[in-house]
Amino acid sequence: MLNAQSLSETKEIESKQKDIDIVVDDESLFQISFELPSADTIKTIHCKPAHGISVSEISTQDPFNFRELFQKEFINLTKKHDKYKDSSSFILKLSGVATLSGNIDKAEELLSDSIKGNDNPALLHKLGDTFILQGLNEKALEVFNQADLQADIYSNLRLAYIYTKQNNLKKAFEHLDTAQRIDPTDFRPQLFLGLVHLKTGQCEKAIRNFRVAAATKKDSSSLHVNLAAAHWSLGHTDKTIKELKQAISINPLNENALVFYSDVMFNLDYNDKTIQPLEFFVKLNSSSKFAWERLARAYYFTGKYTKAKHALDNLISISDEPYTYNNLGVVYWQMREHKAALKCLFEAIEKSGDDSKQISIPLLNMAIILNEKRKYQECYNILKTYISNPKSAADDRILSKIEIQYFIALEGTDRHDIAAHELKLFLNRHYSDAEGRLLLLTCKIYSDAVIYKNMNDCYKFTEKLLTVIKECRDKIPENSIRFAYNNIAFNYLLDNKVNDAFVYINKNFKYVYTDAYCTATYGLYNIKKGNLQDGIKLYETAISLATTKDIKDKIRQRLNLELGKYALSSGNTKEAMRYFTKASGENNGYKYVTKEAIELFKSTQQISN
Amino acid sequence: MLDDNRDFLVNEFVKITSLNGRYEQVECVNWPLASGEEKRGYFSLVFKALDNTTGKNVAIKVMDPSHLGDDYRINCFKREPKILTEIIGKKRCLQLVDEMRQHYIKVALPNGHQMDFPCDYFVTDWLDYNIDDYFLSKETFSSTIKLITFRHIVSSVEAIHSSNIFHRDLKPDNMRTDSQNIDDRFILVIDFGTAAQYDSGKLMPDYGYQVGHTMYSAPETFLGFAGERSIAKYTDVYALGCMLYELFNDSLYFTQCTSNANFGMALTALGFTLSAIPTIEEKIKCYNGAVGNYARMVEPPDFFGFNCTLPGCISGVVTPLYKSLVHFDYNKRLYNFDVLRTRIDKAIRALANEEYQKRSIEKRRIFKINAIRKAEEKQLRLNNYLNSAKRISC
Repeated sequence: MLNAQSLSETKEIESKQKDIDIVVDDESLFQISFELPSADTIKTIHCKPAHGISVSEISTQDPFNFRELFQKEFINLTKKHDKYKDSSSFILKLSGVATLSGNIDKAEELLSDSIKGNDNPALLHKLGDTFILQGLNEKALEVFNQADLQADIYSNLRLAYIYTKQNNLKKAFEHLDTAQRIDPTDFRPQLFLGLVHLKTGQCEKAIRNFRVAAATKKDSSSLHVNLAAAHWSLGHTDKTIKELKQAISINPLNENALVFYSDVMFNLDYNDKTIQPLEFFVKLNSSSKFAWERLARAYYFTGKYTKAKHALDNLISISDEPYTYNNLGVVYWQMREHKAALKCLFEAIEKSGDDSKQISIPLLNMAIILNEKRKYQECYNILKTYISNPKSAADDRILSKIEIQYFIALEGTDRHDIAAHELKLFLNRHYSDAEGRLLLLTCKIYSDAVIYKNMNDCYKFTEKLLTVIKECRDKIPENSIRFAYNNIAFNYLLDNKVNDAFVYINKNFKYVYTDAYCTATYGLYNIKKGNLQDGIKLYETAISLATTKDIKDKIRQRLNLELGKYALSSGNTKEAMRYFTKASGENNGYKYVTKEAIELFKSTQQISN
Repeated sequence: MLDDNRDFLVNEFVKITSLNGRYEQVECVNWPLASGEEKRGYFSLVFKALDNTTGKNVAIKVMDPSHLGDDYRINCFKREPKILTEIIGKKRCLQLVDEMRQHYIKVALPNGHQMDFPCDYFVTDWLDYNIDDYFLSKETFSSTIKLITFRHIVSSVEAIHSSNIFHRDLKPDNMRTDSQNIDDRFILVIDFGTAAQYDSGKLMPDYGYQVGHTMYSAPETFLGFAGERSIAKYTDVYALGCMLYELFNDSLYFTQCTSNANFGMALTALGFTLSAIPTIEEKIKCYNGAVGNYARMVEPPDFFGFNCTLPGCISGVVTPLYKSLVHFDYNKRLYNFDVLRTRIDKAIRALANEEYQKRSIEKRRIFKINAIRKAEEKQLRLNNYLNSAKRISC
C-alpha cells in the first residue's frame, strides 16, 4: 500500500515560522523584547538559551493623531509654566506632554532645570527616560546612577534595561537582583527577571518570576505569552495552551500570542480551535501574513478547502511568495482541481528560482500528483535532474519523500533495475533526519516484499527500520510510525506470517476503524486467519474511510485479489477467477496487483481446465 | 485675515464705555494671544466687564467672527445661552446674567460708506478663580483637600446633569470657583459651548467629529459618538475619572492612557468594525456588542502608577471608583452620583479617622510582609528543587 499511502500522507503545507516575541510589558514607553524561536523549533530544542538575541524598542503608534493633541496641550500648559515652575508635579506633567508632542529637547531642559532645586526622584526618573528615548544611554546611566539604588526600584530597572540593551547581562542581573530585594512582590523586577531567565534558558526560574508578576499584573497579554513560552520550552503542553488562551482573551489582537497558539494547536492537531480567534484577527488585520497562513492551514487541516483557498488568495494578495502558491496548489489538489493544482505548484517552482530548498516542497507535491495521475514519465522527467543534483539543500525529510516519489515513477515506467539500484543508493546516504530514513526504509521493505518478492532483504531492512523507530521515536511523527508498522504487518501477511503480523497490527490497533490502511491490513489479517466475513467487513470499512476514489479503488482491488486467493485455497476456482478478473480489471489499481491477479487467473484457469 | 476681524471686533468692544447701559470696563481675556499660544474657546471671544447694576464682574461672550461662516459653530453659540436658561436659579450652576443680545458695531465699507454690523453676545457670572493649583501643584495640598475638591467637581457636574444637560468638554480649565476658601466655595462648570440637552435635537445630524477637549474625552467619542445624547452622560463621567487620576498623579491621564499601544489599537479596531455600518443606531448596537472584546486590552492606567500621593489606606475605596469612572466600555461606567459621592465621603472620613488609618496601615504592612515571605519561600523551594534536579542529573 506504499504508493497510495504515501500520497495521502506526504502532501506538504508550509507555514513560515514566526519567532515568539518576548516582551517585558505592554504599557511602557520602553519595551525590551527578544525573540524566542518559533513554537515548532522550541519543541525540538527544549529550553536551550535563545539564539539571535535582539533588544528592540517598540514604538508607539499614532492612529488618531494624538501627537497633535499633545502639541496643543503642551502649548496650553506652557502658559502656566511661570506660575508652577517650582512644582515638580507640574514639571513632570509638562515634560510628559512635551515628550509625547515631540518636544523632547524641551522636556530635557525643563527636567534638568527643575532637578537643580528639587530632590524628587521622579524628576530624575523622567530625565533618565528622556535620555533613553534619545538613545543617550550613557547620559541615562549617569542620571539613574545618581538615585538611591538601595531604595529606588525604578532606577534599578532602568539601569537593567540599558545594560540588557548593551548585552551586559551580568550588570543587568545585579540591578534586577537589587530591585527584587527592595520589594520581592513588585511585578516589574519579576517580569524583567523572568525575561532574562527565559533568554538564558532557565525556564523554571522564568516561570517562577512570571507567576509572581502575574499575581499583581493581571491584565498583561504579553506576560501570559512569556509564561506560555517558558512552559512550552519545558514541554508543559496544557499549561502552554492555558496561558495562550488567557493572553488572547486579554488581547485578541495580539498577533504574537495568536501565532504561537496556532502553532501549538497545529502541533497537537487541534486546528479547529484556532479558526475562530484567527478569523477575528484577520478581519481587523487583513495584512497579517502570519495570521492568514495559519488560518489557511487550520482550514486545510479541518477539511474546509474552499475557505483555505480564500485565505490563501488573500495571502497571495499581500505576499507573493513561492510557498503560498505551493499551499494553494495542495488545496486545489484536495478540491480535486488537479489542473489548477499543477499550475500553482508550477508557479511555486518558478518563483523559487534556483533555491533548491524552496523548490523541494512544490516539486514533491507535483511529483505526488503526477504519480497519482499515473503520469509516471512526467514525474520521472521533473525529478531526474533534481535527484541527480548532489547540491540539493532540501531537508532530509522532504528529500526522502522526493526519492520515494522518484522510485514510484521509476517503477511506473518499468525501470525496475534502476529503481532497485537508486533505492539502495538512497539508503546508503547519511540521513540526519530520522523520519526521512524511516520513510525510505519503509519504501524499501515494501518494494522487497511486494514488487521484488525478496523476503530476505525485506526482513533484513525491517530490522533496520525497527532500530530507527526504537532509537528515534521522539523525533518521528506518529503518522510515519503508523505507516511503517502498517507496512511491516502487511509484509508479514503477504508472507503468511500471521502471528508476526499481529504484533504490528496490535501497535496500530487504535487506528483500526479510523485509518483506511490500518483497517484494510486488519481486514487482510482476518481473511488470512479464515474470518472471511469479518475481513470483508473491515475492508468495506476501509473503503469508506478512504478519502479519494483512487485509494478506494486500490483497496477494493486488494480485497478482490485476497478474496480470489481465499476462494482458490477453498477449491472454488470459479469464484476465484471471478475475483481475479475483478482485481485485474481495476483501472485505478496497482500495476503489480493487476499483474499478480492476471497470473493467478491464468494458473487457476489451467487448474480448472 | 481672520485675526484682523478678531482684532477689529475686540477693539470695538473694549472701546465701549457702557454696553447695554450696564456693562463697563470691558476687556478681552482670550485675545490677542501671546506668541505661540492657542486661543481658548472654540466659538467665542470672552470679555470681562463690570455690571454696574450689581457691582459684580461678569463674562461677556461674543461670537468669534472667524467662525461666522460655520453653521455648526453659530448654532453652538446660540444654543449656549438657551442651555444656561435651563439652569437659572439652580445651585452649583453657572448663572446667565443677560440673555442673547445684539450690539451693533460700525464697519467701514470699501466704497466709503459705513454699515451697522450686529454682534451677538450674552452675559454670565464671572468667577475669579481657576482650580489649576490642585492639579498642577499637587504636592501643596493634602489628600483630603483634593478629595473635597473632587467632590465639589462631582457636585457641579451632578447639578447640570440633573437638568438633563451634558457638558461634553469637562476639564480642569472649564472649572471655576468663586472663593479661594475651601469651606465656603462652590466649583462651577463653565463654557457650555459644546454642551447639549438630552432631549434637544442635534445641530447637525451627522456631526461625528470630536466634541470637547480630547485629553479628557472618552474612547467612544473618538469613534463618532460625540453627538449621541444617550452616551453623553457617560462621556462626562469619564472626564471625572481622568480628573480624579490627575489630582493624585504626576502625569496627565491621557499621556498614561496612550502609552499603552493597545489603546490606539482597540480604537482602530472598533473604528474599522463600525465603518461599514450605515446608521448611528446600528453603530451603537454594534459597538455595544464588540467593545467587550477589547475592554480587557485597555485597562485604565494604574492609579498608583505615577508618583501617586493617594494614601494607601484609602486605595481600596478610590481605586475601584476611578476604574469604574474610566472604564473603556461606557456601559460599564458608574453613573450614579449618590454612589459616587458616598464613596468620596467614605474616603474623606477614612482619612479623618486616625484609628482607621493606623489599622489600615498596619493591615497593609502585615499583608505586604506575608506576601514577601510567601514569595521568598516559593523562591527557596524552587532553588532547592533546581539544585536537587542538578544533583540528580550530575
